Amino acid sequence: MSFLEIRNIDKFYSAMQALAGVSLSIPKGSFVTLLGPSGSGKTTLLKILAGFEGVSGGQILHNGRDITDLKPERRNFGLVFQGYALFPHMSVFDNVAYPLRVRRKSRDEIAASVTAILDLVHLGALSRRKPHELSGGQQQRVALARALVFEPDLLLLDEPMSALDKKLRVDLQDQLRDIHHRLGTTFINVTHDQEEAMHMSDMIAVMNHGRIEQFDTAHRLYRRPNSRFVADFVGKSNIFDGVIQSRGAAAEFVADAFRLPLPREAKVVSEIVIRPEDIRIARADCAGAAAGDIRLEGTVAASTYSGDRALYSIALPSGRTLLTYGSAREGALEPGVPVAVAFDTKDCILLH
Amino acid sequence: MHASPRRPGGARLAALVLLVLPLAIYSFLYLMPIGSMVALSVDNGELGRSLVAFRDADRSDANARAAALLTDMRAMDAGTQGATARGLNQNLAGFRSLFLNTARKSGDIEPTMAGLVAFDPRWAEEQYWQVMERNTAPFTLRHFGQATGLVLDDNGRLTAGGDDIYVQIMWRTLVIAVQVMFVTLLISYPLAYAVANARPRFAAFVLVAVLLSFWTSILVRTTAWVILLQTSGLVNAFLLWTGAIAEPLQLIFNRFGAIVSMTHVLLPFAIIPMMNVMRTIPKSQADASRSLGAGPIETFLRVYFPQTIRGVAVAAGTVFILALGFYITPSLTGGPRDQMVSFYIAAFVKESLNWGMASALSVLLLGAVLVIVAIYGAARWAMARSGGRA
Amino acid sequence: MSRVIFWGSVLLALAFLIVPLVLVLPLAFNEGSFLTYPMDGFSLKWFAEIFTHGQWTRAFWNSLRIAFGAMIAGVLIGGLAATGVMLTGRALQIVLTGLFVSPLVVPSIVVGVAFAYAFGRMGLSGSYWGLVLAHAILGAPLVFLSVMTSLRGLDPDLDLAAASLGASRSHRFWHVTLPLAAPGFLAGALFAFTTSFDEVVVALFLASPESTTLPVALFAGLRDRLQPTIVVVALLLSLISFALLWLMWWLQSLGRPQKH
Repeated sequence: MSFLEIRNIDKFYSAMQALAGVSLSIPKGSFVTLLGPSGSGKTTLLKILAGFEGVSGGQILHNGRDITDLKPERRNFGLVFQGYALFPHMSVFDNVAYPLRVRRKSRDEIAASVTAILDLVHLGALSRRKPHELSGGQQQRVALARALVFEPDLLLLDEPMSALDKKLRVDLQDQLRDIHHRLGTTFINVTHDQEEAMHMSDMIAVMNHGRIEQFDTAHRLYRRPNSRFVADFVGKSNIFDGVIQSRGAAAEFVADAFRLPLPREAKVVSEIVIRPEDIRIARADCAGAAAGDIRLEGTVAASTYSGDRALYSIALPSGRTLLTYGSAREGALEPGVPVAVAFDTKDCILLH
Repeated sequence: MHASPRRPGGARLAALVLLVLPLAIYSFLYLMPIGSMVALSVDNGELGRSLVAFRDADRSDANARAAALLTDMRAMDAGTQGATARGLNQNLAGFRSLFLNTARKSGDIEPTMAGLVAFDPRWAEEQYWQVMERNTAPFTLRHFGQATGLVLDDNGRLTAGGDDIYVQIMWRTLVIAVQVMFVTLLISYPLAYAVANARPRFAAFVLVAVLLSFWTSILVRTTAWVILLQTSGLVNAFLLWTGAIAEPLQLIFNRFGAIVSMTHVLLPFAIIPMMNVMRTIPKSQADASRSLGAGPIETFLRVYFPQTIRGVAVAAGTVFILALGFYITPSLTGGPRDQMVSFYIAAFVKESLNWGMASALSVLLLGAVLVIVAIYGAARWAMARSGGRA
Repeated sequence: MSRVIFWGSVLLALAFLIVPLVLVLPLAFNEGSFLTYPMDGFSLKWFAEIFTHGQWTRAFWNSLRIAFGAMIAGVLIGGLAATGVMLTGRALQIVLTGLFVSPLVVPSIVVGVAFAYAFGRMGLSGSYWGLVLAHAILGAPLVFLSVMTSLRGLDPDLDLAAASLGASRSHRFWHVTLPLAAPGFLAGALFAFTTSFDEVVVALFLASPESTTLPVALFAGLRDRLQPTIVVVALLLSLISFALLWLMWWLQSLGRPQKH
């Protein structure tokens, strides 16, 4: 039995189904992210975990105890809101002290806990400020401190980074990771930003249309997606449709641009995925530079230069395009340049 | 126009052209009437205009004063004589007959002090001369003295000790306004809360009810209460029918009727500002509080209510100011002992034609309102300066 | 527990707010002359009595004429004031706003005394124009506020956009700003009309028996004797108010698509 067990949750809003049979086992002390596009049900699931929404079916068990219908204030789960929901009429100190005051802790205990947690989030000097006198990043850290000060069993984070700019976001992701390590509290984070999810989480649950598509580590999600949706949503990808043709004992996956011999056990393959970084690229006149099991010719259709490398979109003779990265040290390849691209069979991801 | 932070001279000219008409109308038809009302409250009426020679006479020369008085008396027509005598009598009882008798014979009396005393020995008494001296000025604090219960002493200073009937009325006005304010806030808070927080359909229903009430004329709503609360009215009929009472209750023409109807009329004025503040409080605030371990009641008391205080304060101020100057509703639903300052102002104008008292009471009422507005303005300014949102 | 408190207090307050009118207004159709339930039967006879009595119809026409005049004068004064104030500097804006809005704060009885005295001396007392001007002063602040709100709510980029397209200041004012502020003028006009149509205190001081308005007549009727005709007048007054509120809502829904 795991720390938090989500069993077969359904949620309907009148006729609309927001969650369909969601099940998840969340190990104690892990950092789990619910990742999905808007409308995928990830926020609904978080609200159900926090106790703000009831379920239409299913159960939530916390250490074996059914908490499905428990009121939010009885769950002892911390929650960091998307807009932080700091109380504007209270100072930083009073905001953070709030959950302790509600729990009728003694004055000294409150002062000690609040000071400790504010130091942890590097806000000790600002405790007398009002929320509106703080920057967005500082507000976020106050919200975090407030949700952690009462030592919750579980910390829920509702898109905590969405209101911040990119640079700050990365800093705060590191801090959050660090705090998670130090406290050992179980974190459940909700986001639609796959980079954030991969950066911070031990496990990621990819959600779509109210279902969990895949619950796995970041690495496995990227290298072993189990659906077209996951392959497409997590990272950049080239996805090829095709048909399987038998060739005696062996089989081949026939896409419009190439044929791929299939390993023996893979009998039902609907699509194959190749990550752009697994594709090598070279000018067509520079023979042998792009070596691999499968080699294709094409022309550069567009290039996006991003400093460290360039992302190319290659037009193949079949009419479709292929994404690949290339070194940009000597400047990007111009659109219209004929190129050769190549990749290895072992880098092809088979979707069933 | 509204966009550009730079305002070239053309804008100033345009502003001037646009503002000429409204400023002229406001000055002529609004500021001037109020100004003349304020002037009226200290105007000495006929006294200040009829005893002109007397006012200019040498005060140390008794004979000159007597001659001047007789000159003034001869210059007055019968009506002015009567008005002056009435004014003097308001200051000192018995002056009326003395003044009128003397004035009637003013052509025959020798214009010296001795001549006056020979006509009526009372002229030898200093008090009559003092009263006249005090009242020859064009301005007087007489009306304010009467309104505040302060009297003019022999040195012309205001001291306590007069009739304090109007002080009692002003105190009563204040008490009723405070009572109405509290009841109104108590009833409007849940309604404003429902508009801001209930499920959309119910919230819309409450809002429509509030707006309909707001747009229905005050007089119509007062009418409804008169009909409901009268002795043979619906409320009494219902209570008798249920058997809760055996005799009809007196529900109207007393403090109860006044407060109930005034509260009903003022309800929308309290709901609207509270609702506007409540709408700015995100629902996530309450959720945050719940997730931090507070129950719904504690959440309301610690998180929600403190943030609505600003709206409650605006509602309280609005209701209080409106209640202070309320005339229509209390005059129709209150009893004689529940009438407010405005009732007496109206009575002075419509019945006793005492414009001086009407304007003095009006000036006091206006002053009270302006003081409250100023306090609110200062509080808002201070809050804006400290940068606090709450 | 908290739900019980919420629903209990909301439903009681809501009943207090709506029950009086809902209970009383239907009595206008009562056959009998007692203003209580159960009704003696449905009848329009009290309506007929109102319309055959010259006193009520004359008061109604007076009210309508005065409200119409006060609306036009109020829109003129309040609208000019608001557009003019928008063009002035910050400090002057605060002072002038205070001045133009102040009639809202001054108790109506005080305004009534001031008007009665001053208008009496100007010879305006009891005349149509006296009432129109007095009500215009009471309505102008509402016009001022609603025009001001809609001018402030305009997207400043629209003016800049017009300027960048080469429109002169005055062209922008007449062809961009004013049309966009039109909903504010319309709402202000409705406010001014209702204010005048429902006004009692000032009219009580200024109206002569010939120029008496419907609310003044109703007020006098209430002080005199409670008759079913009074409920009929109250019903008609509220129907007019509801119609105006509906008109306001309709105008606002017209104005909305322009903004987005």
